[in-house]
Amino acid sequence: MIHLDNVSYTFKKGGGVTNVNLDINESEFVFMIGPTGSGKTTMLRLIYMDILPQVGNIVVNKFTSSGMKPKKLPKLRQKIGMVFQNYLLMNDRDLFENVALPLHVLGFPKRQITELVEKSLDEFGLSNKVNHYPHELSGGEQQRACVARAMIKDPDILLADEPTGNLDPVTSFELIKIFEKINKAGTTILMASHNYNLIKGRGHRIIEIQNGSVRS
Amino acid sequence: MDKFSFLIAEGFKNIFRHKLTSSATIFSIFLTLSIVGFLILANQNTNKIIEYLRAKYKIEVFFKEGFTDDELNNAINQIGSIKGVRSTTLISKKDAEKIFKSQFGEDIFDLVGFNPLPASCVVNVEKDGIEKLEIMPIIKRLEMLPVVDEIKYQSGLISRIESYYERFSQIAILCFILSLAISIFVISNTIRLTIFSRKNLIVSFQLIGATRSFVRFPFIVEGLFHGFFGSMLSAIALYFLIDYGNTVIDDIISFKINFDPYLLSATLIFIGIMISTIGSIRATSKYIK
Repeated sequence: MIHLDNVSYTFKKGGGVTNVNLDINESEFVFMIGPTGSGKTTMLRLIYMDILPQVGNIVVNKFTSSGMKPKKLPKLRQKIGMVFQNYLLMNDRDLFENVALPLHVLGFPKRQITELVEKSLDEFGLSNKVNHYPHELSGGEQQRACVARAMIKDPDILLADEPTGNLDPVTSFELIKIFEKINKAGTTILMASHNYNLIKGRGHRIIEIQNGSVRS
Repeated sequence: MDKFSFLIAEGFKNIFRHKLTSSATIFSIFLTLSIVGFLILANQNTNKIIEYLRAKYKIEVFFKEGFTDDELNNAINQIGSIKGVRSTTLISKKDAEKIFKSQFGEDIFDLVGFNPLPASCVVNVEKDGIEKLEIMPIIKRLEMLPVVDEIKYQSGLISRIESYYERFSQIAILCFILSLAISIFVISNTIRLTIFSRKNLIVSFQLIGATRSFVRFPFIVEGLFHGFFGSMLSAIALYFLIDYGNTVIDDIISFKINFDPYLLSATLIFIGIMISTIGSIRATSKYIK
């Protein structure tokens, strides 16, 4: 599902990843741990091809990084759900509109969008916040909304970049449980975190990244 | 179809979602296009003034004695065909005699026993041209005619008016180009700032798999609306300003500011929509990867 072959990327001001080889299989749940600045976000950006490797090759869902054209990127990303530490919800629209957005991008009919969004918000315990704007939601609710937005299009892969970074321990554990539920339904998950205590002993593969190199 | 209607609706919703930035954009379009519109009108009405003045230019051509009416009519036709001549009026010896009597109240025959007044012709020049009117080529062609005895015209005054007009026209064109350039600069920068404040939105859109055109389209719709609304406001403001100006001027002199409200509105709306739409496309391109 995700294959990184000897991938390197160095930023102009330093930092990045070096000689990364990684395989993540379909329906796998992988935690990526490492301290801040170790290269976790760079890895995720490489996978959703926000940046392309300077050396090596990446294959995600049959999309190859070598020769990747900007025109093809939307197709790749339509099959990837993304969750961020700072949520990246759109502050100028309410929860319903935020969650519905990926479906509009995919061209779903209006009636189906309403049905799917209502179902999704119910699933994530946000049905009573439909008309709330992001700033009217708690951190946990915002993160759940972010997951709901990522999952509404039924992606093959879910990438999460420090999703618990702004959450308290209880809400963080709840979010991990949500991810596990999503993974059980067949979605491949790669979650970056610097909090080892949160992920240890859950029976999922853990890869460690330090100074831009992967140590499994 | 659902996607298209969503994008149109998004564009319109964005106007109300971002009321402050929308108002700032519309206001900058309104302000700059009002200046552009004002300069267009000033230029148009300067043409009216010069047309009015040119209608007053008069060249009087006095004919030699001893030519028949046919010969004089033939000369009049030749004068009428000279480039820059709008119309000619023949004043025969008899007409001159009548004019003398109406102006001085006495018969020229009673005074000198014969009619010494020569036949003449009043030449009116073209008044519509936007270029400087050259009077000397007309005078030279008139002097070449064998029937012509003497030519009287306001040489110094005409050339001075025409020179001032030429200089004014050049300055007006320069001001128009300058104001248009400033409008483009101000409007596109306002749009750029508006879109800059929403660059995270563009990033979010792209991360969820939106194509470039999908991200750009609502901004274009928004730009179209801003351009249309801002330019409409400037057209309305100019209409009322001119209407008020005409009532004030009418009390002082018999001159009316001439303008076609439909043409002015269409011109301003066209300029407004073009600038804001192109500005939106350019500004979004900056943030779309």
